[in-house]
Amino acid sequence: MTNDKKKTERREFLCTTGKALAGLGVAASGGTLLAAEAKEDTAGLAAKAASFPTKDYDWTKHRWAYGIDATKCIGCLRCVEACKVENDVVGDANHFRTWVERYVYLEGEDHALVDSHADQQNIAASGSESEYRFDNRYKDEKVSKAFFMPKICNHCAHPACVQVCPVGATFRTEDGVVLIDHDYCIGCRYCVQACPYGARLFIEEEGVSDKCTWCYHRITKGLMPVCVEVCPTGTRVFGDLNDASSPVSEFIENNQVQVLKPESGNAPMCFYVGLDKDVS
Amino acid sequence: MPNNLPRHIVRLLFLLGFLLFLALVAKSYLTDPSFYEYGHYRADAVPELASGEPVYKGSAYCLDCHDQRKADWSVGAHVVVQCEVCHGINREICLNPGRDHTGNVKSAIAKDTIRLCTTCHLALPARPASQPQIVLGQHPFPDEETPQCYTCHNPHSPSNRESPAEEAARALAVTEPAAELAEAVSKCARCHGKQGQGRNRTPALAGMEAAVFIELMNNYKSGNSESKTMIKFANRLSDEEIVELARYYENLPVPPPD
Repeated sequence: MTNDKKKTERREFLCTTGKALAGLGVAASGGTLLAAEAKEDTAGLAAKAASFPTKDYDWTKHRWAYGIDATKCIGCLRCVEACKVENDVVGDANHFRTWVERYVYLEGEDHALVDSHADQQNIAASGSESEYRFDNRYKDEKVSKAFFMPKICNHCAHPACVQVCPVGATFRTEDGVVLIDHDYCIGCRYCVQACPYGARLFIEEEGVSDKCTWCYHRITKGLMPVCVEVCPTGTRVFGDLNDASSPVSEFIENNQVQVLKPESGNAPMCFYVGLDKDVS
Repeated sequence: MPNNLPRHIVRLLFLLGFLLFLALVAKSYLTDPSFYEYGHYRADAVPELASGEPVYKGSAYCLDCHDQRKADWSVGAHVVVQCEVCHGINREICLNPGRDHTGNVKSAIAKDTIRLCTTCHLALPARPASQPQIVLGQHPFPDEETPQCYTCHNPHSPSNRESPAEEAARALAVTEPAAELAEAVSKCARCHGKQGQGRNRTPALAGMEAAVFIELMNNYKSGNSESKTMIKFANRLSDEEIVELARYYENLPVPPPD
């Protein structure tokens, strides 16, 4: 009789304590989750962001943007080569942070023939996968219209790639640059899939995604991205939208500019002059 | 309510609670401390990405030592082409403050200038008309085994047709005119160039045979010409001055063919 009573008491005690612990556990997790949410909300505030962790550069003072005037592009591909050298990008024809496409309308055709320097024929013309040139395949054809179209990561204001990253390895900085944290990337390539512009690539040897960073290591020191610096025709412009005299502010003010795929909702920050109906 | 729940459900709930607790503990250990500082990412990644050392140094860096290039490059059409585009970068420079060029990934002086220059200047249908372009089969290359573009074109100032070597030779060869001629020569030079090389429609005088020079000037003196300017100038010169000028210009090095 006493044993039974003790057993019941013990059981009841254990049950109550167990439930209490479980309850505490749930409450604790709920609490930390909420706290994390709260932290995320305040994290975007300028107050916190003003304390940018590198000295000499205040990311709240800049709003970077990029411009491309495709009517000036001569397809020399110096930008592509410079980017590869500056950023140590894999030196073959499958990994580009920026690239140039060629659109050719033959006489009588309604749609353009599109090729890029990564095309097999162009690789054969250049002689190797690490040197880039466009071949002259249309020299005997009747071409009615043709142009080059440089492409690059658009560093969107509402990037799909950032939204889909499961681990927070890609993000947008306060100065408008979308970056990748290679230490956190797990290589799932969801971002590569999500980008509507095909701007992201995957590095097989490292198992991480990669993309154009607008040469963040240069722009934070007052330099230009390398592709802008080497372009001989002034096709590529870069600058601070907060500065009305910066090249990109003047570019936007003096030209009628467009963006690629505005319907995607990504709000790209790369502005084009000279887009054509077949360019996507 | 807890008393009415079946036992197996209660055990499940305990199990879930425990797993949740484990997950939270793991998260707090595995998440980088700087995560969530600015948003859903590791804040320390930003200074890491901003701290890379730039590889391209920019033309100002090269001109610091190679300032003899500044004169022609900075005024020519190729001022838009940065030094490192044609001459390659040097990663070593970043690490070696002595500016050692031995680590250059490209040959500093291109061995195949046709290949280098046609990167931008080969006629392609997609290139805008404002870009000077050549069709390889139609462009007059020098008659050599390995023709080079710089035989005719100064790569640093392409509008000047002389090669750097020819330009240097001509600069050395120019003689100063005698004191009494200096004034007259400076007046001729305003249209005919300091080295008598001519400009646009104004013909070159350098290397002109003295007899030809004298005859032309005599024609101008007698008003036998459509060029009112030259008639005016010729009449300001005495016959002796014309002979001296003829001798001076005959000895100047001939400019390259246009």
